Amino acid sequence: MKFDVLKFLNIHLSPDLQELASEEILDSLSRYLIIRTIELLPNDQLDIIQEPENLFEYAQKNISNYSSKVEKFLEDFKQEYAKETGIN
Amino acid sequence: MESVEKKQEPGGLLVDAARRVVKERFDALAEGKKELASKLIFAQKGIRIVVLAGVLMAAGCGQILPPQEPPTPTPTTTTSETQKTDFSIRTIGDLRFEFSPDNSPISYETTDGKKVIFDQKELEETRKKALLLHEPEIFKITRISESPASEETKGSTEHPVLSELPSDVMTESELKEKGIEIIQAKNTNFYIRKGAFGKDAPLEDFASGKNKLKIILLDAPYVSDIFMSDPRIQDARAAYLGRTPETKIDIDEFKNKKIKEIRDLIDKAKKSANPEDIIDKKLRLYDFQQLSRTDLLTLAAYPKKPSVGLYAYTSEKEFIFIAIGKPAKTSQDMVIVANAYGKFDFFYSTVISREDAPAISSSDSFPNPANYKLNPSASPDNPNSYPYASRSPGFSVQHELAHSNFIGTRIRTGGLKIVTNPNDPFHFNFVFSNNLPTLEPNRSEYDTDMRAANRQRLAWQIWKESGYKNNSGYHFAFSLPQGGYILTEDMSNPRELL
Repeated sequence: MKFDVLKFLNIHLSPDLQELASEEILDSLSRYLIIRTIELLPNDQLDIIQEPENLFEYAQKNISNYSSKVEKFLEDFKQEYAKETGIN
Repeated sequence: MESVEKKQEPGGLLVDAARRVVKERFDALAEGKKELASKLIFAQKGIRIVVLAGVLMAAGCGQILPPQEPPTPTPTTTTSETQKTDFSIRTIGDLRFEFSPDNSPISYETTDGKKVIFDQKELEETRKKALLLHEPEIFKITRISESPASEETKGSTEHPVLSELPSDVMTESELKEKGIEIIQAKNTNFYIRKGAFGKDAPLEDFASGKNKLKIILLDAPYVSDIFMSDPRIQDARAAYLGRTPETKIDIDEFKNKKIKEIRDLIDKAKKSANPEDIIDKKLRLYDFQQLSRTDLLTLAAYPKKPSVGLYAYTSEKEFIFIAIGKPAKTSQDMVIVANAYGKFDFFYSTVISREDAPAISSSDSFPNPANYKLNPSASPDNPNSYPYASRSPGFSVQHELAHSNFIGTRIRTGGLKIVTNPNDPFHFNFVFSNNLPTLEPNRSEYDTDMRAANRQRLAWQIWKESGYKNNSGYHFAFSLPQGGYILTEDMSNPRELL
């Protein structure tokens, strides 16, 4: 199964713009996931995270049901994005 | 949803909407966590695909689609007649550009007849990105001209540039006999005339050959240990670090911080919707990203008050550092920008060399201190003040040699002892002999600056009163990077301020 961010967000673009739009929106999506994951971090663990890789490794090891939480984050992003664009 | 091809704005709006979602979440984040989020978001760009793929796999969402190859364009055939009619040639600045029928640049020809063809795939990608983001995107920056600061190589009657060195310039081996070693710069050499060792002359104390002095010309805008990697000057570096803390810079951290600052400016410019401001800030980012690690280190370590000359010493040797800098230069770039509507605009951008180093210059020849700017706030009561604003290498030599006269004399007479910490051999402590309290050396920058200027004043007087013929008062010479030699310095009584 492949993750197509444009398909996921119901965005339809002409083929020549798909790659670039996908890249830019994925960039925002990854930022969003970083922020949402940081929300879950205990304050006393903030100092140990130096890179995004550390954050996700930490989250997968220490936050219970992190995978399902990521799924929810993705759905949240989709909904918030829909509010901004009117795309459903 | 309409395709972007039919209407240009929605692509940009789609991307902006995603950014707004992120911003709202970021704003809602607890204050204590925002710093970490900023740091990770900034670091995330280059590894986005890898990280996100890992997270999505964990969430059972599979993997990111690999970048798709753009569809192969259908070949079109045009007759040569059509090409002749539709392709146009226009001269912009000094360059002749060829444009396609849709007004996109195809190539340009330089003044010397060289033809440069633009990568049409890259051009098209830039155009699409500008359309999608609905903001100007830089396509190409072409250096059109680069010229050193206009430098008069002949000088004037009063301040001539010599075509050859005076005959009494000392050779390397002659200087070695005097205990003096010079580490030359890449494009500039420093020379000493025999008169510099005469009675009351600045190097009188070195005439016997018993004392040691190393003069180091640094190809740098200021004196710092970051420019002292040359194996030949490690003794000088150690002496320098005896009085100045070692520079410790995280170049990557500095680079990331600066890039973030410039990107913030770009974001701010985007909000103002001023295309020229956006281009200006993007050019700034481009320029910054072109900097080498050495350039970055130079910028990162730039002191608030940079020293262009510095005097340091150990119990065995004295050292004088002179930052020679690089000649200023002015460059002109042709900047081609895809605008928010998919058309190409042309700009000329003039770049003035950032480095404000006091590069050796023909204007330093036969200096007359009356031409130096005076610092009105300097005072003898403030020993850290400098009455003369000159930062020329010639004046710096005078200034640092005056330090040698003031401080080095104390070392040579045994009034100043240097204690080395065995655990830290590159740092020294300075103590005074117990029974010689009156031998506290004069470390005043004010007095040192005054001595340097007084020396030059007298040299100038001899030079002027001889009808610009007797240059014997100027004991030192520099070669200029562009050719020729200049004389600097002195003929005063070095004891006058002791």
